[in-house]
Amino acid sequence: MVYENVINSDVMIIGSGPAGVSSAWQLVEAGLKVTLVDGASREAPEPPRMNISAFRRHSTNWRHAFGDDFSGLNLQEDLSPKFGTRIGTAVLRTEVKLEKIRTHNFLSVRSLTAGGLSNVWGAFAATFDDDDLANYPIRASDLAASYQSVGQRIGLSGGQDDLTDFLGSGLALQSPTWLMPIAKRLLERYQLRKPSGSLLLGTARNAVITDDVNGRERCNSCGLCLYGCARGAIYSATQDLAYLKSKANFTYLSGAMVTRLLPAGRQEQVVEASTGDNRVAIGARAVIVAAGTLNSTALVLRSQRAVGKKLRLLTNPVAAMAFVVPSFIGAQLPRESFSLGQLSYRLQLRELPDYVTGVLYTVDALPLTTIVRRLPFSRPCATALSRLVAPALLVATLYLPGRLSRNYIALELSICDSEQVHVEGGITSDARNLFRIAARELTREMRRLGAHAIPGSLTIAQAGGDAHPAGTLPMKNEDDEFTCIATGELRRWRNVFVVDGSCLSDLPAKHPTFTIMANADRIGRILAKKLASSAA
Amino acid sequence: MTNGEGRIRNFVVTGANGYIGRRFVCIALARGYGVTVLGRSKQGVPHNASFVKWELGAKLPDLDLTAEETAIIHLAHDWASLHEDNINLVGTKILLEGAKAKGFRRFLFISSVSARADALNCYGRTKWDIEQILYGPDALAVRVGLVYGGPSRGMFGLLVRLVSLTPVLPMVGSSHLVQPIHLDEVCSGLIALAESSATGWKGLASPAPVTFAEFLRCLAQEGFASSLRILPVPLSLALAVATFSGRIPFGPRIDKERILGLAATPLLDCKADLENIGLRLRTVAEGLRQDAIGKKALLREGRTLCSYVLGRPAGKALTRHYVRAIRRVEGEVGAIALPRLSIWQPRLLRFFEPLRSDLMLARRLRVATALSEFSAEGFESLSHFSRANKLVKLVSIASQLILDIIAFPFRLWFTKTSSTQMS
Repeated sequence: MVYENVINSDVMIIGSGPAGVSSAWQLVEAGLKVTLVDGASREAPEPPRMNISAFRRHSTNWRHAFGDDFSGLNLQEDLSPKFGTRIGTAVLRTEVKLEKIRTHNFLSVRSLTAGGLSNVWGAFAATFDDDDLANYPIRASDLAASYQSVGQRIGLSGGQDDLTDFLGSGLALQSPTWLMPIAKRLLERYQLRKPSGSLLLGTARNAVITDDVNGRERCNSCGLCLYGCARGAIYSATQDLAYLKSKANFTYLSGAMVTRLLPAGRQEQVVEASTGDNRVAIGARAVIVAAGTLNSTALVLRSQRAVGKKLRLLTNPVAAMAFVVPSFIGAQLPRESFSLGQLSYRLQLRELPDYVTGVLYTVDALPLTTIVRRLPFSRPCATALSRLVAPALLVATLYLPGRLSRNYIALELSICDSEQVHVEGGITSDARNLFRIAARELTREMRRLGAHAIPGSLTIAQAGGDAHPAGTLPMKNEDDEFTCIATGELRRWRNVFVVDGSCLSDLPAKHPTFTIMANADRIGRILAKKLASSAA
Repeated sequence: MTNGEGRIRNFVVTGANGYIGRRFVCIALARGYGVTVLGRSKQGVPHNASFVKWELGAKLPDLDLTAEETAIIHLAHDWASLHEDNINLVGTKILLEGAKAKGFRRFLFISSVSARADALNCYGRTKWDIEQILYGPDALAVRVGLVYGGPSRGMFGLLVRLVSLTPVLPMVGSSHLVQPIHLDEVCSGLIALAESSATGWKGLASPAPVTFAEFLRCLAQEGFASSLRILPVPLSLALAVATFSGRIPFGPRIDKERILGLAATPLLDCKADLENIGLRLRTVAEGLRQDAIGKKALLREGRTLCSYVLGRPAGKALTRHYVRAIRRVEGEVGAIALPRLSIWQPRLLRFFEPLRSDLMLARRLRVATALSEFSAEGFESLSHFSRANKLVKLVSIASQLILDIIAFPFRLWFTKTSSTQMS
């Protein structure tokens, strides 16, 4: 095939999500010529710019709540409510362009929007420590500088409390985001009850700024986090993308879907991309794959024509349960609100060598429908009840370590002989058991703090529901096929680096996004150094 | 008169003021045909159609048309004339002779599926008699089934009124099969038949008959979002009621003739006829859904469900959103059959709300609940609740719970019956 070689650069990055822009950052700063190829040709819809009470009154609020085409009304019950919003449905809509992935017992969450899934990020940012990295070929010290610089760039807020070390110490933190009265009460009780048992509780650490930084406005507790942040207080990769675009040595190619990596026959690494009807080859000295775990893995499997090869796919089994703080029943709705994580916790179980984590959310800024539909009463009664209890509700997520997940991704031949990616998922009975044990333990601990679990509220999400699939092309010391070396370079390939969730070696029970970004930043630094020395 | 190949360019329509006639004139004009209306009054005739004064029994007037490119659509029927040898027969004969004399290409007489020598009502017998006088390669009788849709006029209008009046309908011949066809399909069919060279008689009626009771239930649901119970009634009783109804000053007037028409309509096999002219009929539900009446029913359903969820009347904006949302989420669907009581008093829906979440009503209520929350009424109701003091809140919840307990056995029963209906 004859390609028109359109662009030549030092590094080509595939994907504009958090991993892509994080790796780009260091390379661009080092003065290298970087081309970012993005399959997306559209941007996330404009979020509402008002406060929660104006929003409730506003005549077009339904658009933000359910999407312009009401598609959010079809949301499955066990999914995060933000997936059903206008921004959620728009960001997750992958329609025609993105190649289909066949799934079984697995929720495939992908995006074809500039900035990727970060547009609907819950913004919870935790670092991995040496224990978390036990199965990695790198240590926490290798990531420290990257955590620092990424944290600086995206802006972190959070408090100094029992969880500071667990979520990562030594980072520059802005003051915590607005705490709802109910969360504040819980935290106060926790402080009084020390020494604590198996539960460590603290403010959530979020990539949400509480001081104005670089054109982003600080959080004003408008409570509309669910519908996207018009102020840019919540980090999204589009903010970094905007900065990168302003650099002369950075080229952004949108609407170009990378179909295949071409084996390095020449000195330059080449990928094949399609922009509309044209197929073009793009050359670079190194390629960074950051299209999101599912897409990146599919790309690598396809490029290697590895039909039938089954790769392990890690996800954090995730569940949610609800608590009620009786003294808040019937309270007035607060004027301010914040609907991302308010508090986070770490729970130690006897049955688990490591831990369970989760985030506590208040629900009064969420649509009441999420509560109403779970109540076994008539609709008017359920509506009235949910209005009564909403101010008193706390929803906790429970994250289990990724090793308890059982998912596989493979490239298969479909009936019509075309290649198709298939993901087979499932929640193991071990994980289900652990959820029940953890729920019991959490119920006990929270009762001490005055929050009572609602019986039967434990809901285990479908595999993939955490939206953080990872670990398909893990960094490993062993020389296996479909793994990366510690620098993220894909084995059997020359100068192809994997920087998104795919290259994580393991998933502790922590939100991995911040670590994915830091790791991408680390690989970006290594690559910048390498290219600089080879040029010299 | 000739019957060679060639296009029809004009229609001469009698009975253009009737249920089918009005729609036919509009559709023919929209498709680019010239239309001349023969009738007693110019009222209701579109400005781009010509009008010539005429009445049943009069001669075909001279028309400034190329007869070879013109088809006569004879829809006029005088309901007042009840004798066998009546004005309908005589008038049609005169019109037909006039048409043949002037060389019009086609003469379509609109007959009925009930046209039979031994039909129970005079209408059926008259139509039969008229069919017998048609002759020649240009004349065609079109036997039309039960026409529905469009404006509430004619037989359809009568049924719409009946269905809208009462949740329980005593009825003659409920298990008789009818062959419904949408008004627009009749008009398209007539145009296609005029363009064809068919002679004798052809059928324009559904090849898939439904019982009359089913048809009415469907009309109640798709047209009024209402459930309907049919109470079979012996024919003699119905005729007595019809006689009586004629004497009540402002009451609904029920025509004896029409009741007799319902009592026994033979089935007509017209599948081949429809295929020949390439007409594919929609089901009654689909036909009504795409009609104004179907959209109105969905609005009515939305108003009922949202008012029920909110505990206060739902406004127009919310109701419109409901219709849009349902159409987007569930596709081209129609209204569901709600208990009549709940349309009258939405709060009574509490006694009918299903306990199973997979039932249609439960699914629709979920949409209504979600949308209501994001409406002006929902906000009003929420802030009202939020401002109230705790005691008021608790009392209101307690009363809600008590009502729920009272309603539970009803809901259980209703869930059971609707589940068995579904399976």
